[in-house]
Amino acid sequence: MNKHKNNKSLISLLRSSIEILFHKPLIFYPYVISIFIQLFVLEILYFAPRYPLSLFFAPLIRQFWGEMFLHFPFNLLLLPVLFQYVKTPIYIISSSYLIGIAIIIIAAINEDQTISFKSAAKKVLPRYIHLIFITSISYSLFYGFSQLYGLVIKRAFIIHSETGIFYLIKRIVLDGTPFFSLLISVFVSTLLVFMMPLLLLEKKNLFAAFWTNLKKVIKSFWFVLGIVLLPTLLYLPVLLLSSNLSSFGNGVAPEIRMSLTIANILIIVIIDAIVYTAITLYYLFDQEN
Amino acid sequence: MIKRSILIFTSILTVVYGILTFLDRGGEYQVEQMIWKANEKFHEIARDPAAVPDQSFDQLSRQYQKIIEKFPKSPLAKKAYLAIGRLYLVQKDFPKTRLVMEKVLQRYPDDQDFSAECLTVIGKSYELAGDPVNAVKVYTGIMTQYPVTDIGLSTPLYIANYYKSINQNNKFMSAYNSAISHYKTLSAKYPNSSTDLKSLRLLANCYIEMKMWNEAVETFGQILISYPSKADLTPQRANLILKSINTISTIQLKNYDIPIRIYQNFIDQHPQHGLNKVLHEMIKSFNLLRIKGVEVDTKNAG
Repeated sequence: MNKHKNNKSLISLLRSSIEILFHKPLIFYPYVISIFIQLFVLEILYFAPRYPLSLFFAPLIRQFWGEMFLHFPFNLLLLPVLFQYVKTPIYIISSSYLIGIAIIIIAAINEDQTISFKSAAKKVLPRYIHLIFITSISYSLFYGFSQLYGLVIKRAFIIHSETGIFYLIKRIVLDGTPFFSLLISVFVSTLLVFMMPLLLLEKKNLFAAFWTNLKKVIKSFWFVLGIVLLPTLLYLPVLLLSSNLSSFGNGVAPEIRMSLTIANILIIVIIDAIVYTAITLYYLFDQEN
Repeated sequence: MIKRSILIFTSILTVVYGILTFLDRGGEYQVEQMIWKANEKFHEIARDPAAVPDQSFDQLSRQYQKIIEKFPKSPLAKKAYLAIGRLYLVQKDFPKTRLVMEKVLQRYPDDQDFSAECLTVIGKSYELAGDPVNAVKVYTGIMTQYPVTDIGLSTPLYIANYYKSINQNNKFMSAYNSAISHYKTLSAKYPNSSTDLKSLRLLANCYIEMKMWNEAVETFGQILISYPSKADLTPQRANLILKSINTISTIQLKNYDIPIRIYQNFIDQHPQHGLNKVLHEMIKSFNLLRIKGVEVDTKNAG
């Protein structure tokens, strides 16, 4: 595949990634497992206020959030919050490993080798700690940038203007928080996007992989940003819906929140599947050239 | 392989869902769900009851009845009974409201708070039927039978405000006086208790309605000094009390000595309290106003 730094090539790369996910379902299999793990955890959290899981969870929920959240429909308000807490450890511990397996499978298919899920899993295992480390770094970076944005929000809050340019800035900063969060996530993902292929396929150590990653990202920053950003746009409808569901008072059924959390899980995994497939293909073609 | 895996995973999730739902059968969660959905329909109907066909009322009544039949021992069954009573109220079927509530009162005679709530619905049915005599009779019954329930405590003030709303001026003045006397009696009978605190707050409201400003500000002061704990004097409550004392003293009484005395008293009695810093600042500000001879004129202000 020729590497042209223009939109047409970016679109064709993404299109190829989606096609390969359909034609080689083995690549998508680790992502199916990732979806299952997250949905299973969500299901456990859904039943947390109910017997028998309430024997364990009820004292914790009562202590940190209050008695109200053990009852319908407030437990459904709390559910996405609880899931947010466990999402990060799940991603670091299991999703990173599963993405690693998908990358190994893509590389094997690219070289016309036969591979099974089991053998790919075995190949990733020695580099598992590296994957955990790099995913943790990624989350730490995201957290750090979010805290910086938090300072911007604090500053925006003290703007008293109700018209004019300052008011516009205030509104953009405050109302655009979920969208800026998404952009921060895209930016952080772009910065470390080649780490996994480098760790797994070239078996570099962390520092060497980071240095090579940085060189590759800088070399074709906008192209790589496009690979991460375009599939991430799939998340926008979920983000818009979540931002508008302020309370149940506007006639929204409380189960909608749970449906949104499920949609969230599915869309994020699909985005990861497309992004990492595209990045791995780009990396492999880049190596060949 | 993918299709088989998706099938297996979906089956696992479904089985786990089924098992956990089965284990919680008969639990409160199911009742909460049913009550919430019925209450949502109730709120829709209550928005414009005239536009709602009788069928909808009957359907909703049956929905609440189903909850009561399926979960008779659940504490939420009482809420369902109350909802049926309120539904008939909204439908303006006042005799049916009273009939249902009286049956429910006999069913749960030991639950004081619930009984007070049922009587409130009966009283409301007389109010809406334009029968103030019977309405006040019912409310007076709540006061005497269930004096320390939240509803019982707020009823004297409610009666006074009710007379005010129906323009019975002579009766509302005497009702406020009765309320004042009632709250003073309760406060004396249940000192250093939540009943005393609630009575004093309601007493202060009565004084404000009656424009008895001195008594109002002294009562707020008494609440502040007697109930300084974090549980009783939450930040919101402290803010409200201080605002009330300051506003009444400054605008109505034009007397800065009263808040200074109250706050100094508080500081002396609770020297380690977290509120003292704020109170010191307030005392300073009032002293300054007193020295400068500043009076707040609400008519010409702004």
